[in-house]
Amino acid sequence: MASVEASVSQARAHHAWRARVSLARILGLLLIAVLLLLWQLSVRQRWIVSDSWPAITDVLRAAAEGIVSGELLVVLGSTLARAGIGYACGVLAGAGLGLAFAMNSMARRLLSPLVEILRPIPVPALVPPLVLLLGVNDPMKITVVALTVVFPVLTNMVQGVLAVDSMFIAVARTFHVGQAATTLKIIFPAALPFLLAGMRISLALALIVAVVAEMIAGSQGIGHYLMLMQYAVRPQDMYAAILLLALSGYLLNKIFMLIEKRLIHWYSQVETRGEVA
Amino acid sequence: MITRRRALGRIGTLAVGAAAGAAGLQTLAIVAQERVKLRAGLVPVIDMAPFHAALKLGYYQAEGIEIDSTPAPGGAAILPALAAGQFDIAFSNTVSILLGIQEGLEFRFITGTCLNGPEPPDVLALYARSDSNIRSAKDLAGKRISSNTRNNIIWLRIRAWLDKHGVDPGSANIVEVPFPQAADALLGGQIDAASLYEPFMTSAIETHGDRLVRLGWPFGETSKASLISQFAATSGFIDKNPGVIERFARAQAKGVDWVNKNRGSRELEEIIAGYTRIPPERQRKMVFCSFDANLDPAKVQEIADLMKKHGIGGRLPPVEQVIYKTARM
Repeated sequence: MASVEASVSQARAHHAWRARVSLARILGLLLIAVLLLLWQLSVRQRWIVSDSWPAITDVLRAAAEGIVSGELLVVLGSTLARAGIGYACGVLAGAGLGLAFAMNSMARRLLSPLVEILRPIPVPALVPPLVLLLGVNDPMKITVVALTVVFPVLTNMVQGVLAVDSMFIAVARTFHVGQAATTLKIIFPAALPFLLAGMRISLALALIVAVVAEMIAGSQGIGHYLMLMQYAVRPQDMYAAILLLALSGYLLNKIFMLIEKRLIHWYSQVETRGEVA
Repeated sequence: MITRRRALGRIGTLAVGAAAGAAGLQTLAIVAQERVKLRAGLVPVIDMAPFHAALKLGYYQAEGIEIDSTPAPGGAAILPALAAGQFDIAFSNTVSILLGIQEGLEFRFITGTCLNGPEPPDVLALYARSDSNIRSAKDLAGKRISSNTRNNIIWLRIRAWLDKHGVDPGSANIVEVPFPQAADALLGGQIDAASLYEPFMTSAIETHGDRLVRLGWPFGETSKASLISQFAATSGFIDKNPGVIERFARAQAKGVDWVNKNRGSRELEEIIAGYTRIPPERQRKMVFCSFDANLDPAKVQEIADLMKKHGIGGRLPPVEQVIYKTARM
């Protein structure tokens, strides 16, 4: 009898929680709508008069035109491709280095001073010297993205490997599992949640930095498009590009979270079980 | 027959895209010069109209030049990239090119391009807020004036303009504000006077003309038809490729002639809209600079003297030496 009451109250609590969540979500969307309305009013009511502050309706129109003509999609696509290649390079290098750092104290001692010095440098400051070495096109921009991505991935990977339960490794040793197999089958999967956290942080950074590099040098991608439209005094086209950029950043994050869920669905279960115990 | 075939073969190997068929080789043989790729650092501004006209009308192609262009709206990275050999030719303002030479970079002017028009309206004007009490240069002592960059042609002309009107340029505070933000900064009270270059001047007047008052024309009031921007290359590149520079300058000069003959034409409007993205309706309201492929050494000297006077002078060879012969055709 008591257990039935408990389960009823649990279901009720769950229901109330679900209702709160959907209410919060609706309010969140409403907040965006209110902000956009304020934007529109600020222009139409002439609260802000500036040739770099277009009405949101003009921005939406410009976005629609840019998408229909295909131009916006082409520049966005080229930026995404550049960011994607740089991201892949940065993740591979960061994960590899992270593994080496965590498993080999020699490598850690040798390279960590260099990493610690390079890590806090704002990447836009690296663009001019990189222009000197790599030019203003793809090689420079991809390098800039990779350099940005590598550090969060590296530090998270190191943390992940160090956090692997030593019991797992001891068990592997007992069963005479080789070093390579231990790394591949035990350490890497156990460190994966950390690696993925680093990758998710880097994903947003990759897109941002690709755009910044495009704004500083060269004539490619959405960063250059933003500058071109700004210098042509076409702010509605500039904001249309920014809007598209924001949307693609949002979608990329969503897609990443879906992949993350599939890859480490066991992780949250382990965590909750750990708490219960 | 053998020599002809050999000559064709040689041209073929030099040609970009040597896969061209026999007919293509024949044309190249008639042109009798190798095709080259020229990497150009550009700024997508109105000043560049002759270059883009020459590109669109095939003048470079006729000279066997393929342009690999990189327009950078900021323009800041262009001269360093020229010095580093990332570009073969670069477009920049006279002061920045001269500053590079003073720093020991072997830049040479290879063609003239853009000058301020002989009579106002100029391509650049200084504006104040109409609700302020600033009406002339005299009112600007101790005030904040914007220039898009420090130590460039605009910064120099603002100082010369203050000086001409009896105001110590050192007493004014010239601050860096990019053109797209200058009008907003002025109306927001962050600066007391804004220098606006086209198309920002036209756009600012369209948006809030009633709140702006023009203080003067820093270009036209300090020098008649003064230089604004040119193409430069390094002497190292010129020494190795004198023929290429000559062909480039010849095509560019044809572009200048065409633009001068076709002012206000639909075709020119479309060319400019193509690379600046400024719609033709706005172009019609804008002030354009004058174009001349010839570079007058006296005008370069005038700027060099001004630079010295305003504290950014340095060791400069005689101006005749920094102007390559192609800019004096």
